[in-house]
Amino acid sequence: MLKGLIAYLLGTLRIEITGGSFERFLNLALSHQIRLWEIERTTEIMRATLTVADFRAIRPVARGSRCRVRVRQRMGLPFRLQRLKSRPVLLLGFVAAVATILWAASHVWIVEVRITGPGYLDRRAVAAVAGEAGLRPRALRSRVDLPAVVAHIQQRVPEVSWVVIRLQGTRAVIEVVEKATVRPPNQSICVHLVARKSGVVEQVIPFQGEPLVKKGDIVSPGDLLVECAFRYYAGGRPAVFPGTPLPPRQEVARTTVAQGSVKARVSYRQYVEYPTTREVLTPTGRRESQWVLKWQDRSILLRGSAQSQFDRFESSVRSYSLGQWRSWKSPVELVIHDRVEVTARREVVPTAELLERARASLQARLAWLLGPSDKLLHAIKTEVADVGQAHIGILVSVEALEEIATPLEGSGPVGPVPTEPSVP
Amino acid sequence: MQRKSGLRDRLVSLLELPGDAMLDVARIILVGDMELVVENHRGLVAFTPNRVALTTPEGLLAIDGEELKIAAISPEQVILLGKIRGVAYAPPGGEGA
Repeated sequence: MLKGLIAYLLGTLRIEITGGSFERFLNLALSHQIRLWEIERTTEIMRATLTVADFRAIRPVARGSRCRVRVRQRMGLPFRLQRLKSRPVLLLGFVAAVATILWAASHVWIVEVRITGPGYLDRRAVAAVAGEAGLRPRALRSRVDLPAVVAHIQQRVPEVSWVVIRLQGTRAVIEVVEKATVRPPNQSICVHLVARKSGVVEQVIPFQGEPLVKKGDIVSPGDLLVECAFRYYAGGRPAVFPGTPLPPRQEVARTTVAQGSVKARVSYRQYVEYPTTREVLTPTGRRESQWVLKWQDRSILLRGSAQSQFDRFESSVRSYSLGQWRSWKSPVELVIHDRVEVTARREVVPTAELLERARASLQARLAWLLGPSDKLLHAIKTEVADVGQAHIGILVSVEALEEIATPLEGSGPVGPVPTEPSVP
Repeated sequence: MQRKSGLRDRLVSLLELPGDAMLDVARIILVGDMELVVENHRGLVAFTPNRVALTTPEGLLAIDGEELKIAAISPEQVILLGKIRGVAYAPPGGEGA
């Protein structure tokens, strides 16, 4: 095997020997320390294999034995490389493939976590803690300090009783034994955060709980935004995810109420219609008065006519009485009707005024809909959507950055509820 | 010469030493009828597909067979492959190839 490998690396030649004395050729080769193998002979020809280095010394042997030597076949790495020289792309591809394989083999690509125990420990949490110590997918194998990773997991996750990590090729297997005394928090008080409005999520800040949406997600009312419970590891502490700030333990321990802020872009649109003209009343200057004396249930006309002489008028009423004292009320009251004659004409309402009126109506509505921390992302937009003979339709729209998370009480956990572990 | 050889034989026998190591003789290993290894040879006398003759300290060693090939040859040993029919020492001055 080793000899074959060495011969391949050095390069070998299959030669054909003709004429002369084959036996003498072989004996001379032996005396020149030339190593031959796979020697076959027919009546006229003898074939043998030798290294390229030995072939350079074969000339005196051939001369001494009066044989002719011809090379019939070239084998081994030097000849393959020579052939590859004329095909640089293939050579480059080969080198690239070898380099890729070497590079890929020198990295960890899979981190597998196997947990034995009550089953409350989250695999992702263990993987994340291992990642903090450098053992994560795409990590360079040579840079992973396994004892340090083990120590880090044991320090960060005290609920773990035993950890061992094995590197199997490009896969790292973290075997964890969970302490048997681990207790999950009460899941019955789980409260999720759900969306109360439709919108596009802009910002998610989970204080407590596991966010299920991210920036750019479109949510509808009732969609789950922040799940009440992390997949626990012991003591009700949330799982550690890279990039997620971990609140102090004492503040989050043993609670399953999701808390967080989810802000979303909420779009408001409103369509309103207004008449394009309005009636304007102009006084003509003519006035009339009607005096009526009211005595108990009777009305006595003192001045003016019972019917107004004006077609259109605006009236105002004044009344005079003696007043009242305790339960006594004066039975006499003088009522004066003042009428001013007016003429009516139709006037076109400016579009700008109608747009402003539509804008004000949405603004009044938003005052009720938006909270104190919500803000409009831009000014209210108005757009004439429809123009009829006597009316105009206006579309009013605005986008607000709004807090849309609201607690959904009485909701259970999303995942299966873990059962109580048996206490040994 | 004969006296020296006899002395060495007696010494080997007396000290119970392995003869192939101490004595200047050929060591022949036959593996079934397909491989023959001859160590401590002195050169090749004949090489045909049916017969190979080697010089050894004991004289001419003739190997008869079919489709005989030399798998490897070096100053120390010869490895023959093929169907080996017979191995015999030819008498001094006997036939070669």
